[in-house]
Amino acid sequence: MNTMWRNLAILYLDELRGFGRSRVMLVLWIGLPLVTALFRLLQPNLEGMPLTTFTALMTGSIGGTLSAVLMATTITGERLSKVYDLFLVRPIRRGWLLVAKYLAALTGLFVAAFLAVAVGLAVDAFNGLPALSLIEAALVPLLLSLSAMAVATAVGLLFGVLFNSVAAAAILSVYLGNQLSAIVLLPMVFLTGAWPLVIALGTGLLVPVGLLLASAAIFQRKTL
Amino acid sequence: MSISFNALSKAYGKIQALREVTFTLEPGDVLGYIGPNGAGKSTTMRILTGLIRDYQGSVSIDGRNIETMRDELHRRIGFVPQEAGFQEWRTVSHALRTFGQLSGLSGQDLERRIGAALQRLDLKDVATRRIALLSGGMRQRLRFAQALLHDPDILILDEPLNGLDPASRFQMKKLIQELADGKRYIIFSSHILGEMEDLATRIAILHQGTIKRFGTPEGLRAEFGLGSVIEIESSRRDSLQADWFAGLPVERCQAQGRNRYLLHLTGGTPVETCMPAVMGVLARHDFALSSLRHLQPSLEDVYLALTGEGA
Repeated sequence: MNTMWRNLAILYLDELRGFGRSRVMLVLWIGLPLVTALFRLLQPNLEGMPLTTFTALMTGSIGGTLSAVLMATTITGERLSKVYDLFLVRPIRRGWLLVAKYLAALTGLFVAAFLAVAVGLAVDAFNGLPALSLIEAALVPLLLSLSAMAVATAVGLLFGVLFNSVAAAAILSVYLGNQLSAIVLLPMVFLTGAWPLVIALGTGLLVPVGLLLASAAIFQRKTL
Repeated sequence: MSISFNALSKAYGKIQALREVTFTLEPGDVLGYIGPNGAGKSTTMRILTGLIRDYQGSVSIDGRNIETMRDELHRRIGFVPQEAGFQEWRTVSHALRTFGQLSGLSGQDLERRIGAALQRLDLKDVATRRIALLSGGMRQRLRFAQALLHDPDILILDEPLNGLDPASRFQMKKLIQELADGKRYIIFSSHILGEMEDLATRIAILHQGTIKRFGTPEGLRAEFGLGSVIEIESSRRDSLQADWFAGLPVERCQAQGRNRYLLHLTGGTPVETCMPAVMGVLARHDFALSSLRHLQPSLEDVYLALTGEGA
């Protein structure tokens, strides 16, 4: 493995460890499944929608918002306290720091989403609903949620690179992170047939890649 | 083998931080980079480390422009930044492990080097402590430790003694002296001139982005004609008259308290040729001499003479 990929892997695993220790991820990992269970207690009737499906939809909104804020505040804060100096005097490209952070945050989010859906699935199965049909019903909402989270996290990352104020980055991420992540839902609303899902998932893949590239280009030019 | 800064200039918007900075270092040089806050010291260092990429002029190592040898440069330099932060969730040893891995170290070699760095920087007792709980002095030692892990041959230290208590400053100065092994380049900046006196083999004086002087400490003192000073102390509070020294290359005689005097020699006068004559004069006047010392003019005097800031 050459130096580039080796160092990207080191950074990714390192960031994963960091996010693992951050309170936000702990809140997500414990909080999302807990909210799922609580929702069932408080609202037993979800107008016919299984809890699994509801949970799969909900994680995209909550997880995406939290992740966007986490990314924005972490990156702005670390830039301002010159954390990246000690990394960038080593054989690392600036963009790798962002890619590693993004992938690590996304990994944490996906784990949280799957945990929450698993809790929903367990509750529904306990109530006698067939597991296989639950999974089928939850698959599309879950994929859309994961795509939305990918977009929201990338928006947070872009704001983290752009702004020199933690507060400004956080506030804009709350507002715009969630709003912009809804872009993945648009094909499902306005198109019919099998293609909308493909387009939605493609959007969930391409928009974050575009935002990551833009962030990396800005970060490259920024005076640290 | 050399590091050359060639007409290096850098502007931040309308503020010109560096103007045509040019000097060359040879292997083994310990460069004291002096200048007040905002003079451009950190900017120069950050260009050499690759943290600043948009500048005019060039920096070359062994004849190669640093822009064409990024990865090699990063393997060769160790950087102690002035105020770099750490991700505070890390422990001391975890931070060192990550930085070591990113510098290409692994396995037992990495663990051995981490152990040695912890020992050398007196961080062994806090190896498992979270960085959030470290004092300012300990963080500075951690910055040193990460810079030394991969045994770089170019060490760049930006205000390395800032914020340290006297004991830590002494320890760090000793470490810098140890690291100056005659092969390694060491560049360290400070706005406190006294810190350079016993460390630097070369001095670059930077003022408002311009190199005012570059040379050896001795050369700079001689160039500015700052004469040596002889300190005389009496055991009996004897008074000393300036006219005793008529005919000797003495510029002025300055009383300091009741029994201490400073004889300022004319610039360029070798003190060893003047000292016997001074002792002879004191003996002729039955002066109860308790001590006689040669005081070197400080780099601070050179700096003030150069920039006119002492006027």
